[in-house]
Amino acid sequence: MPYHKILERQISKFSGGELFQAISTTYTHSDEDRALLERSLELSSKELEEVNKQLQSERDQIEIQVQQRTQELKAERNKISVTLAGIVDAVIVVDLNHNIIIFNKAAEKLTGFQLSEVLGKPINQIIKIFDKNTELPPSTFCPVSSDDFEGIVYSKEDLILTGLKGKQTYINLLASQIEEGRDVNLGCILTLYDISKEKQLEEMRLDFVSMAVHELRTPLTSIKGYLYIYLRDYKKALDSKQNSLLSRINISTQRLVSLVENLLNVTRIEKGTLTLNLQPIDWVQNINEVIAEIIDQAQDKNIELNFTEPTKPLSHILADKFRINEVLANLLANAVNYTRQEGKVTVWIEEKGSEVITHITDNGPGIPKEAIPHLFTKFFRVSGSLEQGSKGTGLGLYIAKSIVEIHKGKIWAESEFGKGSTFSFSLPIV
Amino acid sequence: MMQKILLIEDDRFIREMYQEELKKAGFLVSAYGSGEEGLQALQQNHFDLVLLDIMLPGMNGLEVLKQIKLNLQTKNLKVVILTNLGQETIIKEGFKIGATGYLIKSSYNPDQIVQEVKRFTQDNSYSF
Repeated sequence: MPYHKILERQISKFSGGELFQAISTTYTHSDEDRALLERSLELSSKELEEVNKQLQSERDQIEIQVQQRTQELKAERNKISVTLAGIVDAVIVVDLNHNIIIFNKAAEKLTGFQLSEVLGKPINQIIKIFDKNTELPPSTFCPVSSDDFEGIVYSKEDLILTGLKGKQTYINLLASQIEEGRDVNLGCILTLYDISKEKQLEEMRLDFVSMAVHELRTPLTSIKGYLYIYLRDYKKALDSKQNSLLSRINISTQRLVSLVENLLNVTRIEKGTLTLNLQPIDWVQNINEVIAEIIDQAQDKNIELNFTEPTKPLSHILADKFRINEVLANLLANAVNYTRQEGKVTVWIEEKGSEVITHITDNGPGIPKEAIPHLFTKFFRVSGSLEQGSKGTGLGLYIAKSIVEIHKGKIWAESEFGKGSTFSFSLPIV
Repeated sequence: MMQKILLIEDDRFIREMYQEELKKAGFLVSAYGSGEEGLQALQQNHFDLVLLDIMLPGMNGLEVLKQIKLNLQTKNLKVVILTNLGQETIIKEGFKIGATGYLIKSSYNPDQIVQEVKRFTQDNSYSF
């Protein structure tokens, strides 16, 4: 289309008012939009204000919470430090390089060092730990591991701690780790329990028992000796009633002797001074000797005491004759004591591998199942029907176990309640 | 010839029991209740064997043993320690000073004591 035509048309539109109309409409719309826009802006800022307020309040809340948490943390820290200061166990905490980071009051008392002297110092510069005469390295008593294990990593009783100026204390030690140790530079937590007072008391108790036993033995040696001479020289001249009375005096004396010896043995076991004089022993002959010593007691109760000798010759065993006879005598005496009148006690032996096992079987009342695991514990007595008529201190089986174990043997019991018991122990052959 | 034994034991009943039993077995026995008396007797008489208790009032048995072993006239005399159970350290100490052997009073009956004394007096090479 030629330009003038276009122009003509436009002009005609112009004159017709179409263009004005369009422009006006546009403006009208635009005004509405602006109003809308303005309104919406107005709204937004209100909302923003709202949001802002909300944010502010949330921020305030967070701040309060942070303050609360900080307070709680502080309380927690104070709680821990006051607890640490208050407990009697020494607590020493080291970082991943074995440098001390926590050292409580009890640790100060135990080692003689002040907190300020030890903080940041390597633990092995402050304390030394000995197991008997061997010094333990920090890697043993205070291990720092690379994994995230949580719990006890080392525990040992009866150690010696050396602190300031060589101050020595007997302790029980417990070393633990926490899972987050590597993240917070916490290597190991040591808890040290001072056992020196207990040790001292224990020693006093042992000394007292030992002294009492020594005092008891002198008159006992006299009673035993004179009774022996009397029976040896006058037994034939006595009637059966007199003999029976003396036999009971004799049995009671034997019992008193073994009681006193048991007490002495316990002090030795606990002091660790029970030693053995090992030698090859003809076990069958030995059993016969011990049975001969106890036959009086069995006959007094009309108990049949038998020894089933093995058909094949037995290897010699390696034992301390005196000590192992105490075990045998004790088990036999128990069997005789706990078996009713006219009961039966049988000793039988078997060779198994590198051991000889000796069994003592009785047809007594048996032992309740729940008592069996405790039989060899010190001062344990089976309660109930077995108590009646039985005499004992609860030391015999404890001693028997200790003696058998230092011979590298084992001791155990099997029993069916109401039917009888079998006590057995093994000893190494030569 | 009868063997002469010096017995040093402070408990009268035990002392007289051993003295009586050893006499019956044919020994000549001089018995004393303290180490001091025993040492005095040693200066005046000859003995073949000493039975020496350890727990004595005043001078204890190990000191008596030392004196015997220090004296040139008595240093070769056989001394047997009378002990009770549980005195292993004393026995060891006794052997160090020069004891010939030991007898555990509470473990032996009177016949066994006599038997052991016979072995000590007869056998010159007797040792534990």
